[in-house]
Amino acid sequence: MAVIRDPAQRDYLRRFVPMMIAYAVLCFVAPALISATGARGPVLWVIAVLPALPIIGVFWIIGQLFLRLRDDYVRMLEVRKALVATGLTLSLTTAWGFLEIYARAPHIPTFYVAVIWFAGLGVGGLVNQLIERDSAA
Amino acid sequence: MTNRLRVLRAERGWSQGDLADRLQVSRQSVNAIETGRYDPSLPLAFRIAELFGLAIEQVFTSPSKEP
Repeated sequence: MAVIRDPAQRDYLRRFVPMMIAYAVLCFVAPALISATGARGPVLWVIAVLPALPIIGVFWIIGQLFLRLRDDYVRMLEVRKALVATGLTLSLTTAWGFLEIYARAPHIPTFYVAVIWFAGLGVGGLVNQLIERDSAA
Repeated sequence: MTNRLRVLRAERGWSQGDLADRLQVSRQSVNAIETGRYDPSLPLAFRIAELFGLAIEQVFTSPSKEP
C-alpha cells in the first residue's frame, strides 16, 4: 500500500470519514423526521435533501484534493480516475436514458448517478494500474 | 521525455525512495519520471535539477533534440 505523504491526501481522508458518517446518519434521520413531523412543501424538501449534503461535500473535498496535491504525478492519476468515472457515468446514464425512452427499461433514480460515479473511480483506479505498471525494482 | 535521473541517482547511491523523500514526492512519481512515463511540471523539474546541482537541460533531454 502506498504511503500517504502528501498533506492533501491526509486532509482528504480526515474529511471523507466524517462526511460518510454524516451521510449514514442522515439516511436514517431524514425519513424518520419526515414521518415523525409529517412535513410537507418546502420543509419536506429541506429534510429530504439532507442526505445529499454530505455527498456534495465529498465532491467538494475531492475537488480540494485535486487543487492541493503537491505531487503532480499523483494529481494526474487522481484526475485520470475522475475522468474515467465521469466518462463512464455520462455514457451509462445517457445510454440508459434512451433505453428508458425507447425500450421501456425500468426508471433508475438520479440518485444512482453519484453511485455510478463513485464506482467509476474504482474503475479509474484499475485503469491507472494498467497504464502505470510500476517498473521499479 | 528522456532524462538522466536514474544515472544521477545511482551515482549518489540513492534509492527511488531516497530521491522521492528529498523531492517531497511519492516514489511512484520518481519511477514514472525515470521511466519516461511522466514529464514533471516545470517547478518539479527545477527542484530535480537543483537537487543535483545541474541545469535542467543536463538532466532532461529536450524533445526537439531527441533522436
